[in-house]
Amino acid sequence: MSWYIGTREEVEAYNQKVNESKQYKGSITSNWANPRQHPDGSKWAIIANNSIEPQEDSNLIFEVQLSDDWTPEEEL
Amino acid sequence: MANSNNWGEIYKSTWWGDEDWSANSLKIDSAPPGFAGGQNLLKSSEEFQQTRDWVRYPTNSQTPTVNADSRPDPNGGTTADQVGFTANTSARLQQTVTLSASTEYTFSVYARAVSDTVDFRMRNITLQQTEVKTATTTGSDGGGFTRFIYTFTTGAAGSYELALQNAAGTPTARDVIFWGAMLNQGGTAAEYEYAAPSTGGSAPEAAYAGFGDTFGGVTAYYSLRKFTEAETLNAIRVRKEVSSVDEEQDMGFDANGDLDTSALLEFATDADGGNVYVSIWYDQTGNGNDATNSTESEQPLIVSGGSVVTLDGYPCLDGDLGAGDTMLQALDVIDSVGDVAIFSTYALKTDGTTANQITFEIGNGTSTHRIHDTLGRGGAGTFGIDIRGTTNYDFGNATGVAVDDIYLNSILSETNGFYINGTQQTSNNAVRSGSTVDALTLFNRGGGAFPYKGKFFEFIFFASDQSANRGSMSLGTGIEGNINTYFDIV
Repeated sequence: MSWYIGTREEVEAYNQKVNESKQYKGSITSNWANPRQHPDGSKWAIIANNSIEPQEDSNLIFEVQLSDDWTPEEEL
Repeated sequence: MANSNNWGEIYKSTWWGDEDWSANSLKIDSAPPGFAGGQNLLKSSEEFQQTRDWVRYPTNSQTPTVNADSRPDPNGGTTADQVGFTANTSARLQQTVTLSASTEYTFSVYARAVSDTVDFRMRNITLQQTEVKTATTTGSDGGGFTRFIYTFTTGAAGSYELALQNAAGTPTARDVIFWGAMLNQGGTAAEYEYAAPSTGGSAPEAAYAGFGDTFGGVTAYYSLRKFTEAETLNAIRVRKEVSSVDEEQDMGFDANGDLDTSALLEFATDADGGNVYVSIWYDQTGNGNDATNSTESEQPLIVSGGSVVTLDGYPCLDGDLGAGDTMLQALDVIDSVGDVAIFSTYALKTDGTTANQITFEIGNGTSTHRIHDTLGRGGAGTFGIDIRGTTNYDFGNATGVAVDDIYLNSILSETNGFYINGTQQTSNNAVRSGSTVDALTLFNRGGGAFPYKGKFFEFIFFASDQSANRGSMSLGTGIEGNINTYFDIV
C-alpha cells in the first residue's frame, strides 16, 4: 500500500477527491482514509488509491512505503 | 380453567369395514366437541422449575431463577411460578417438543407482571420466530393473568425448541409470573389442560449451544461463531467493490452456528480482486457494542482473492493491509472499569520483529488509562500486556508465541491474571481499578498508528471479574474450555 505525503490540507484534499470519486453507497463506509501525522508534526501522509491521482496542482509526494520514522514510539 | 375434555368418552367412531377388526382396534375419526386440536403437547405446564422439561439458559451463573408455587395462580391457588430472567436477552426457559410436518400449532401461557408491566418473548427457536408479549397486573383471565398466544406452522417433522424468553433490547433483568403453559395443534389455543412433568430421563441437548447459552453477563462478544441459538444474529457486515462501486451486506450463520461462508463467497463472486472487507464486527450480546469502521482503507479482510480467510479451517478477520492502519472500534463500551475479563483468540502473521502492533485496546487512545496487549514489545516473538489506570501494571512479555498458530490470551482481574493458552505468564497484579474508559479498539490502539497485522477469530469482553469461570482449556471446562473446544487450540 503506497502513500502520498504533504501538508494536512493537501492530504485532506486528496481524501476528499477520492471520496467524491467513489460515491460510497454502503450504509457504513463513507470515507477513503484518515490522514496520519508524522510524529514530529512536520508533515502528513495518506494512503494512495491506486485508481485516483491527486489534483494536477498538488504538491503531494508519492512514496511506496512510509519510512520507519513515521511509526511513533509507544508510550510504555 | 379446569380441563373439560374427557378422553374416557368416545365421541364419534366409524366402523372401518375394510380392515381387520378386533376389540382393540376401534378408531376415532373426530375429537370431542370443543377440543380444538388435542392435548397439551408440553410437559410441566405448571412446574417451570422442572429443569428436565424447562431447560434454563444461560446455564452458568446468570441462569434464570424460578420460584416455584410462589405466587397466586388464575384459579386462586398458589401454583404460579415467578421467573427471574437475568440481564441477558437470551435468558430463557426452553422446552423441546416433537412435532408433525407442515402443521399449525398454538403455544400459550398465562403470565402476569409483579408490578406495572413487563415484556417477555414467546419463541420458536427452531423456526427463528418470536413474538413480544407484555404482561400486566390487570389481565382478565383470573388473578390479573393474561393468556398469551403464539401460533406457528412447522416445516419438516422433528424436534422444535420453544422458549419463554427475556425481552430484546438493552439486556435487563425482568421478573415474570407464569402459569399454565400449553401447546396444542391448531390455530387457536385450546382450553387449558394440565400436563405433568416428565418422569425419568434427562433434559434434551440444545440443537446448538453458543458461548452465550452457557455464560451470561458478557459485555461485548465478537466472533464468527454464533453467540446463542435463541436470537437471529449477524456476525459481520461486509463490503466489496464491483467496478469500483461499493456494496455492503450483513452476513449471518449457517445451521451449525458457524459463519455462513456460502453466502459470503456468493457475495464475493463479482468483487473487485475477489476481496471482501469487514465494516462491522457485530457485538452479538444485544448490548449494541458493534465494532465498526467507516473508513475503507482501515477495514480488515474476510475474503482475499476469492477465498475466505482462514487458519486451520476457522474463518477469521485479517488485519494485514500492508501499511494500512487497520482498526475496528466500538465507542462507549463501558463508562467505568473495575474488574474486567478479556478473552482474545488470535493468530500472528509476523514473528514480532515488527514491534508495537497493538491487538486491542480498551481506553481512550492515550497512555493515561488503557488495557492493551502488544506484539513485539519485548523484542522478536514476544507478547506483552499493559494495564493502566490509577496504577500502571506492566505485565512484561511472554515468549514462544509462534506464527500461524491460534492462541488464546486471557486477562483477568486476579493476581497474576495474564494467561496464554491457559498458562500463567506474569508475576504482576492484574487488578485494575479507578479509571474511566470509553472505547474498545480491535487491531490497533484507539489513536491508530499501531496496526496489528495478524488475525482475529474471537474477542470476548466482560466488564466484570470472571476469574471463577476461567476454567481449563485442557479439561474443556469454563470459559477457556468453551473456547478451546470450539477452536481446538491445545
